[in-house]
Formats: sequence, C-alpha cells, structure tokens
Amino acid sequence: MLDYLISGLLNVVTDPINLIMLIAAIFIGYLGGAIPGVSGTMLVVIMVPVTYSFEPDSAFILLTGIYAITAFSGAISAILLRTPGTPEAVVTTFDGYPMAQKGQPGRALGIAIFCSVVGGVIGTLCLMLISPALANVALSFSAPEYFALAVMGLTVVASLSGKALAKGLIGVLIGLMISTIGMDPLTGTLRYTFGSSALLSGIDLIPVIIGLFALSEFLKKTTESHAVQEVISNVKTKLFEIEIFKKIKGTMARSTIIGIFVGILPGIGATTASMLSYSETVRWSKEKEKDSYGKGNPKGIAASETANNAAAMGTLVPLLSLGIPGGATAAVLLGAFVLHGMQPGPTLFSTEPELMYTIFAALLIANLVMLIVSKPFIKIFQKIVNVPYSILGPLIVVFCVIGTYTVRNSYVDILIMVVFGIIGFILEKYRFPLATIILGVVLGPLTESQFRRAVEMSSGDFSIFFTRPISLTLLIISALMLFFPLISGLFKKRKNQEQEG
Amino acid sequence: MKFKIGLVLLSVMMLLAGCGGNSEEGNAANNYPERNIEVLVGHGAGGGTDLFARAVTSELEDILGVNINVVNQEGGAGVVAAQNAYNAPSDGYTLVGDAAFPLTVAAGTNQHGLDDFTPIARFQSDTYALWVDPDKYSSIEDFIQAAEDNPGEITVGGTGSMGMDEFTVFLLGQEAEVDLSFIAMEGAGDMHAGVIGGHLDAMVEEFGPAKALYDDGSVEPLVVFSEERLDEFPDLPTTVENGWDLTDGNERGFYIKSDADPEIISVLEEAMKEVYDSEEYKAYEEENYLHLREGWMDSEEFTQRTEELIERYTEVADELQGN
Repeated sequence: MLDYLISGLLNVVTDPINLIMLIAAIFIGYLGGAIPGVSGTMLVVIMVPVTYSFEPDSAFILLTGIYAITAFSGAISAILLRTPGTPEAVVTTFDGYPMAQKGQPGRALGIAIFCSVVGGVIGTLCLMLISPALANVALSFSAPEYFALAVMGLTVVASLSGKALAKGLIGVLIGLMISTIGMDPLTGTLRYTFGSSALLSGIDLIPVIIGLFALSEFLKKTTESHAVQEVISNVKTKLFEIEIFKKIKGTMARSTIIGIFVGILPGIGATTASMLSYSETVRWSKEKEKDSYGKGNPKGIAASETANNAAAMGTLVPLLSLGIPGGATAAVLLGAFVLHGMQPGPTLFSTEPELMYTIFAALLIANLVMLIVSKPFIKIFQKIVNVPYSILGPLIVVFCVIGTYTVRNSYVDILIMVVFGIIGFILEKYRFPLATIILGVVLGPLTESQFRRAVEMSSGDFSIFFTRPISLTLLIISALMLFFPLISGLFKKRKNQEQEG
Repeated sequence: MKFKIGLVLLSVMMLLAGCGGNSEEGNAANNYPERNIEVLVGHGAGGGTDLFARAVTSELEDILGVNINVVNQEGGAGVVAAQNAYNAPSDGYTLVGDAAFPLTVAAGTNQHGLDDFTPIARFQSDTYALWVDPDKYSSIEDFIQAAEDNPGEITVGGTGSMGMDEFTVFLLGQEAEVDLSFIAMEGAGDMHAGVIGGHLDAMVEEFGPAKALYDDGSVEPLVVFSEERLDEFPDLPTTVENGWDLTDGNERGFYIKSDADPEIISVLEEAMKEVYDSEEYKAYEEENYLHLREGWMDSEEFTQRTEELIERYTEVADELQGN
C-alpha cells in the first residue's frame, strides 16, 4: 500500500504532463473558487469534456485537484468581501469577515488556509485508509438518522443567538419557512410559488446568502458616515501562529471528524457539514465565549474551513468504495470515470490500483500545496481591504449580481438576492443574528424531507425514529443538548445559593 | 469638392449596406446558424439529461460550426427551462434539452405544450428496470408475492416527486395489481445507498447508473420495462412477458419554439441525425447503456410520440393526483 502511494506521488510529480495538470488544477481552482457564483461542481463539469483525450491519470489529477482546491478557495471572498465564492464557504463568512474588518484579514485567511489543509489532508488519509469501513457506516444511515442529525443541528439555535433567544428563534423559523418555498420534494405540491414558475425549484441558498450578507453590508456601509477609511497596513500573513493554534486545535479535531462523517453521507454535502460543525463548535464553547461568535472568533473560521474540506474528501468515499455519487461533483466525477471506460466501485481498487493511488497522491499534494501557494495569493487579495469603499462597494455589488445569476442562470434569483439584501439590512439594524436564518435555510430541506421520507418508509409509524439505534442515540443527544443549558443553569444557581448560605 | 464626393459615396455605401442587411435578414434560415446557440437544460449539471445534452452538443458544434452552450436551469423537472425558452425570441438560437416534457405538460406544471414547442429529434429511449438487493428477493414473482402479502409496506425508491420515476412505480403497481409505496429520494446517491443499506426494498433505475452496483453484485434487476428481452441480460424477464403494459422510460430529445422557421428546424434535425450516427455518439451510448433501445426519432415521429405520451400521462397524472 505504501509503495502504491509512493509510486502514485512519483507519478504526479515526475511526469511533466501530470505536473502541469496539477498546477493547472490549482490555478483554476483558486481563481474559480474565489469568484462568487463559480462553484467547484461547475468547474469540474466544464473541464470533463476537456479531459476526454487525456490519459486517465492526468485527467483525474486535474479534476480531483480542482475539486480539492475549490473546497478552500471560496473562503477568500467570504472573508474579504462577505460574499462566499462557493456554497461551501457560506459559514466562513460568519466569523471570517468580522475578523477581516477588525484589521486582521491576513490572520483570518491564514486560519482558513491552515484549517483547510488539515481538514483536507486528514480527509484524504481517511479516504485512502478506511474507505470501506466508512462506507459501511454511511449505509447504516437512512431517512430517520438524517432527520435526527438535522434536529441535532437545529437545537444549536439557542447558543447561536446569544442573549437574543427570541430573535434567534424568529431567525431560524424564517430560514425554515424560506426552505419550504417551491415544489414540495415528496408530493410535488406547490408551496408559496404564487403561480410563478421561477419559484418552482424553491429559493436557492446562494441568493439568500449573498443578499443577507454581502448586499446588506454594502447598504450598511453606504449609509454610514463617509469618514476616510483607516488604511490597514503592515498586515502580516501568518499561516501558523502558535497561540491561535492552541486556541483552535480542539475545534479542528472535532470539525475534522464531523466533516468526514457528514461528508460520507450521500446527498448531504460540505455546506451542511460546515454548518453542523459550526453549530457544535458554538455549543462546545464556554458560556462566556459564546457571545464572541459571529464577531470574528478564530474558532468559527476553523470550524467551517476544517469541516468543509474534510467533507469534500469524505464525499468521495461512497463514490470510490461503492460507486455511489455522494454529491453533485461526485456525480460528475462518476461520469468522468465512465467516460474513461472505468466503473467506480469496490472493484476499481483491485483493477486500477495505480490510478487510485495517483488520485490520492494528487489530492494530498493539492491540499498541501495550498500552504505554499496561498501566501502570495493572500498578499494580493488582502490589499482588497485597503481599496476605498467608494470603489470596492460598487464592485462587490457587481460580484453579487454575477455570482447570483451564474448559479442557475436566473434573473429571478437576482431579484431574490436584492430582496434579501434589504431584509438583511433591516434585520441587522435590529441586531438579529443572521446566522440563525442560514441555519434554517441549510437544515430546513434536510429536516423536512427526511422526516417525511422516514414516516413514508414506515407507513406512517412514528416509532421508526426511536426503534433504530443510531437515530435514537442522536435524538437523545440533541434533547440533552437542548436542555443541558437550562439544567446546568439550575444547578449553578443552587450551588451559588448553597455557597452563599 | 472632394469632401462632398466622399460624402455622397459614403451615403451610397450606407444605403447599400442597409439593403444588404435587409436581404440578409430575409435569408436568415439559409445562413443558420450564424452565432452561438444556447441549449437550456432543466436539470442539474452531472445528471442524465445534462450529460446527454453535453454529449450531443459537443458533436453538434463541429457540424454546425458554432459554439453551443449548455445552460443548466434547474427547476420543476424542466419547467423553468421551458418557460425561459418560451420567453426567448423564436430565432432558432435557443433550444431545450429535456427528458420529461410530455410528463410536465400532462401534470400541468408546464404551461407550454406542443402548441408552443416543436420536438426536433429524440436521441434516447432509456430503459428502466426494477432493482433490488439480491439477498432480499430472487425473482419478480418473489417481489410481487411480498407486495401482495404486505400491501403498502413494500417501498420502492425513485428520484424526485411527480417525475418519471414516480409515474413508473405507480404504473407498475397498477399493472401488477399490488400496492407499492413510492419513496421520493433526493438523488441517485441516497437512493442507491437506500437499497444497498436495506432501507428501501427496491428502486427504479436505468442501466447506466446502476451498472457499477450490478457489477459488484450489490443489486440485481428483477424485471426490465421493455417489450423484448435485452441481449445483455437474456435471463431478465420483461414487463410485457408478465402481461404488464409498461415500457415507459425517459425519452431524451431537443425541442424548439413552434414559430421558429421550419427551415431552421430541418437544419437542426439533419445535423442531429448526423450526430446520432457518429461513432463518438455511439461510443457514449454504449458506455452508458443507452443503446438498449433504438433512440432516434425525427421531428415528425417524435411529435406524434410526444402527443401520445401527453395523452397517456394526463390520465396517469389525474389518477396519481387524485390519490
């Protein structure tokens, strides 16, 4: 096995064509991911026909390399412009942008890169070493377990909303309501479409995010006083700072596990993984620290970026070990395998070991190379923060519009984005935690459709959630987590009283 | 003086150029296509219909000599793309690649039927089979027996709701006179995992996407939805053998607005036939198990076929929605 990996590494590095492919993948992945609206899936779809005439190893180095890099590169615009470049980077905006605004864009990007690399590398190692075992875990999950997982994520709303619990609850309910718009995923009933065919497929996550975060920020900044902006100079980009690492190492470990685990579940994906990881990070923080989330806490960036890269690798587990496409990009990669006359699945490891290990090597290198190539990229990118807002602001709006349009090539989405921009502007004025809305929008479809799917599977019997061990365990954990703050609060009070007495 | 002559010459040239423009416009169909064509696909990147559209257009580009851009406009099983194509000018530069056109018209979600769109050509008539975990059921009789013993409890997965998968499962239940429970899954990934993981009793799926799982023995087809047995699976019984009139599948093809110039339609039809007969397309077909049934239909045949399908599915949709 080790010799396979070494020959795989050599195959990537020593073959000039393969090396060029890797460099091309890094370049395309970096730029594409940083541009809002261009997702990793889209880039891979565009590149598949190009690779038709290539040797399989070169083709897959290019495709999987782009895939690995875009799992990170969306964070760049998320941190600097509050506009996530890819859906996976949505959660990175929560803490990345505030940190950049505090004058530490270099540090925020540094944390994002370091965590992406760690998440990506460990994810790749898991993919390489324990794929079959992980795939079996994924198979034991079905609708009831997915539902329980989503519930667990939703219960975090209490901690996400800080002191404004009522506002947080309103936020998450708005998010859940938004997720019901469109054609009902199970019966095809139309909900809140008002006869418009543009709303049939519901409201996409991207216009909501870009509106709520990027456009509303633009509105806010333009209404603020036009004092000359303080120029942030002398920003040191540090990829590794020991005191930051000490703070976030626990978060990184937990987020890697959550990322890989959620990533291997077919149809869930890296965006949900980073949302769940963020929720858990907030939940596991000390009470007094909880308020600092959404205001530039390095753990927030670490949670999102570690988990989404780990999940991106995790998504490849069911593809390579079972032949099941776990997500949209995995489906495209499956098509690429077929195009090159191969069928992903358990047999591929025995029939094409060289190719498999070349892919693993390429993923490892692509993830590690981020550490090296990112520094010059960051140096250029962080200058964006010093551009006067009178120039940067309109540019961001242009990006908002392009980024929204390209997701589904829909003009209506631009309109939706603008509406959410105004909503976000108003809500932020009244200090609503916007992250709770995103929590609802991301987890809403999962919660609803998996709940109903589970009940359909059991012919209407609700006990299906409590008779399956994994689902039961997850639900008990979420119940405990929901009530733990209340109970522990009671205990603390009593203790205090006792001490006083 | 020279200046005035120049001015006169200039106006003559402008007049001529104007005439030229006019005469050219009159012959728009003759010169078609002169610029890039857009193909709107109402399904996500990487899915069966998207890959089909991309496979065809990459060959079509060479034949027509222009760029053809596949634009994914997801939503309502192709309804959003059809609506947008309808709103575009009828100049032949916006086409629709679809698999569920008759179905969405029948279900009423697509307002623009054959009055508004003309089928250009059909490329694929994809074949469904009913797939199960071989440890659970060994034959179609076995499966039907189980469904008779446990009415409403045997679950069959398919992707999406009110789409071809749900219609197929509904029709199977009707023809076989059993009560099957259709479970609308998110996508192919969680559907396949559902069958292998034992959470679903069966799934309806085409041969291409199920091939990897079949090769390693984790799923088996019980019955193929076709008239005749397949050469590749000579032991696999068909629905028609069982006395079930059910051979439907996704029929993938291209559509154009009905008021487009008929000459443009025939240019496209001819070019598409050339693609269909090309070696590259044949190779793609075979790799993806799309060659099991003859796919090609020209505009006239496909229009007639679409008419029949709309009629058939309207009845089914009424019954399904009445439930």
